[in-house]
Amino acid sequence: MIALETRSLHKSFGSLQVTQNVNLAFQQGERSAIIGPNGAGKTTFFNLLAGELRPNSGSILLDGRDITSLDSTSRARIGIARSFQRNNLFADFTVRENLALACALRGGSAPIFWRPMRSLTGAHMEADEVAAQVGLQDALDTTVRNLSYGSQRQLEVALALACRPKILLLDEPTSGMSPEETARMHDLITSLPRTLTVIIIEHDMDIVLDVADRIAVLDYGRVLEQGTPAEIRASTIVRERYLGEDAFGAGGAS
Amino acid sequence: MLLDPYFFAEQILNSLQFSMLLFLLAIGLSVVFGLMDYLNLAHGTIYMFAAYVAFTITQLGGSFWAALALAPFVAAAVGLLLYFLLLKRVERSGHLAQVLLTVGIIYMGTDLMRIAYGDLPKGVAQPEVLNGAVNLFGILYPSYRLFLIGLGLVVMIALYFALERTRLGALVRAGVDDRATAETLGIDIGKVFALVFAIGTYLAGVGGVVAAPIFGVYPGMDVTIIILVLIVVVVGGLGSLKGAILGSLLIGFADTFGKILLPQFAMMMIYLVMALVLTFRPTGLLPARRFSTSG
Amino acid sequence: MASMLANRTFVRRAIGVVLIVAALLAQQLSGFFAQELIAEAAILGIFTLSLDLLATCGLVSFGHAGLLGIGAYMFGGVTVLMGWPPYVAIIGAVLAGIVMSFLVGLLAVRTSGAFFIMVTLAAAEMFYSWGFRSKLFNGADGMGGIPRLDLKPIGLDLDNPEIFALVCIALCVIVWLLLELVVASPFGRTLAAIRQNPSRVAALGGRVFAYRLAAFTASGAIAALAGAFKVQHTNFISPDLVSWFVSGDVLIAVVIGGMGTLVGGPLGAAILVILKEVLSSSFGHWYLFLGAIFAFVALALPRGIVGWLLDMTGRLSQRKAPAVTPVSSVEAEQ
Repeated sequence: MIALETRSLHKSFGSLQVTQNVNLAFQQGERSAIIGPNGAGKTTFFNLLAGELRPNSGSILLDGRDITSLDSTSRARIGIARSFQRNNLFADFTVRENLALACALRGGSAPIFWRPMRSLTGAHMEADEVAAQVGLQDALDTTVRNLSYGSQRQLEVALALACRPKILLLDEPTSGMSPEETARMHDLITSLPRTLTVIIIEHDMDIVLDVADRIAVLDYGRVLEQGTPAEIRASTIVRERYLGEDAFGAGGAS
Repeated sequence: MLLDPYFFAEQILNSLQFSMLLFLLAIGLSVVFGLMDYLNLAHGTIYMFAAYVAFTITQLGGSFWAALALAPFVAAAVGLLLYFLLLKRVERSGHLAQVLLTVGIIYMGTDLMRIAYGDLPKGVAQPEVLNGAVNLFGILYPSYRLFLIGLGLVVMIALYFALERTRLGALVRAGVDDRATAETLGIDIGKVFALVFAIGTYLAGVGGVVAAPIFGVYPGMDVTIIILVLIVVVVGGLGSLKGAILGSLLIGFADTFGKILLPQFAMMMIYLVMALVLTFRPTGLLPARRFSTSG
Repeated sequence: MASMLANRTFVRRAIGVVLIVAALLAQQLSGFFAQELIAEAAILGIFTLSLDLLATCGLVSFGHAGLLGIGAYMFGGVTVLMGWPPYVAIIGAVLAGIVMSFLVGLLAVRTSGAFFIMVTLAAAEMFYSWGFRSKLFNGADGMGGIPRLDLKPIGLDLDNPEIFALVCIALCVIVWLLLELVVASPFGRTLAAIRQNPSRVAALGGRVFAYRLAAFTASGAIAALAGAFKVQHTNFISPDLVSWFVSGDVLIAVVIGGMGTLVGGPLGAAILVILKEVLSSSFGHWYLFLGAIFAFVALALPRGIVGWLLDMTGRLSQRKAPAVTPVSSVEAEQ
């Protein structure tokens, strides 16, 4: 069952074509990775999926329903959540406050103005759960400004999870992380339930090859190649254009 | 009344003349805002200051032309002084700090002019050679106002060539478009800023001198004009010459015709124009920077 | 003790309590003339609170005099022109504030930052130029004879300056307490989140425009209330109430006190009123001095007095090390 798909998606800035005729389908529960060289248009693609950008032509369908005209807020409300490549958090809030706000927004209790925030026990419980899920349960009272970079990246993903989405878009979740932090992020991604469809932009090939069910390779805004990790490994086009011969080490087809 | 073609034509000329004045101030404000991300509300104070300097020059026996030659330079010098002493300090502190600082300068400037010159409006005489009227398509239009229109056009053309054909112009356009990239290309953005600021301030000074014979010189003229100029910049869009021209024309016409059609609600016309533009183009009609910077 | 100091909310509210006590003492102990100043400061305090509420979601209005003016003109119109009792006029004033700020907000809130400043300024200027020319309210000459609220049935004669000053202080305290509640509520926290990162709030499903518009409307209601009491204080309406200097004054009061701290507003208002009184009697050109303060605050004291106090107490209590895991080698983003 296709959870999310794009049809002939096209985006240009003036004469610069950033996304060209992208046709991608993501199955329900699938883990997909989007890879490609810098400037290939990966984050632009995410921006198009999340609704931050409008395509020039083409359409995006969620569970078969055309959502191309919906803005990012509406898409968040119907189940598309994303984490950002550069930390995009509420820097003056604590981890708990970040997550509780996300949960309140999702649960519809954010507009309440006659009771204090701390009276939202439901939202706070959810916040604690999500924090534990990503491993931030000991940092709940730390202000984001004082968090380490790796913990901020974790919170980045946690905020998206707090939305209880159907589709989770992770934009380079391990960027800038140490090996231990990367391993932790890997474990988190693999522990996510299969009710969630996950799409990841990643440069770390170890994660991609291990986690992904399917990989799409973008180059100059176009889909260069799609397939399972084995198929991508074997693809000569991909090896030439993007990965280079020794990206896979021993075990790569020659 | 509006149906009388002569009256109508005369109002069009009046609108053009006012648009030119707005343009002289708007282009400086817009490029400074677009290039330096600096909201300088004290732009109108320079305009007022130049008008008072022109008044002083004429009081001392100088001609209008002497005032036009000298006062803008004085204004630009004062502007640059203000920039290096005060304004530069909050260049990177965000718009609120800039608004607070420049409003402080407005407050101080207005009171200083009051102290120096008193509360009553002063006048600057038109130059004799422009005292008459010209017969234009059957209407008798004051030569001085035609001069203003012509001056505005000359400045527009000069700025167009400067921005499109000179190296400095290319630097300015690059900086407005993407400052960070321009800096990494090794452009000394600090010098470009100072020069752009100086030119913008100089033009505001020219505006002050040429406006004086028509509108008079009084404390508070800075506030009256800056509000309209801000609207011009909002409507026209930041950082572009075309935006400043279009914005000035729109507001110039809205103000002139607004005052005739609905004198009590003249400002309402302008507000409606602004509302309409912002509804469909929240960043103005022709901003220099159009596309979002996502990868 | 240290953890109390580290809790910014506690410190802010403590400052608020101190201010209330100081205001009451001042009112009780000072003479006749000072009552007028106290009332003026309290009313300006309410006005600053309206501006600060808006600032919690990151919007700084430079046209709030317009909203003050709506309340003032509506109050004057209902009492003097229509002859209705003042309590009806107050309701009318607040309603007018809500409607007007909603309408202006529909346009203004679509913009942000510098554009928002410019749009609000233009809107206020529009109102000012109308007030100047309007025959209904005598244009620039203004209209007098504005009556005060009749609370004699409960034993309060507002024509007595002491009672009026007390009522204004009480009103300011009530508005402050209400806003403390709102700011601590989920709605208030969402506003604070919008100030920090509007795009993330949108990406989390929050309708940023709606929240901002709600804040703007609430702010307008409070500003209109302040306006209704302003004209009761001076018994006079004139378009000067809506001049851009009024918008500037309230902004400087909030910034001196500390934008975003709520209590900073009334503190700044009190300072401004006292300074104005001391300086304009001994030193004719008040705006020269006020401009210098503006410039000084912009350059040296951007977080205001309360902001500075909060930073100081925060630093004094900094014993606990932040819970940080080892920083990774690549710090790609701060």
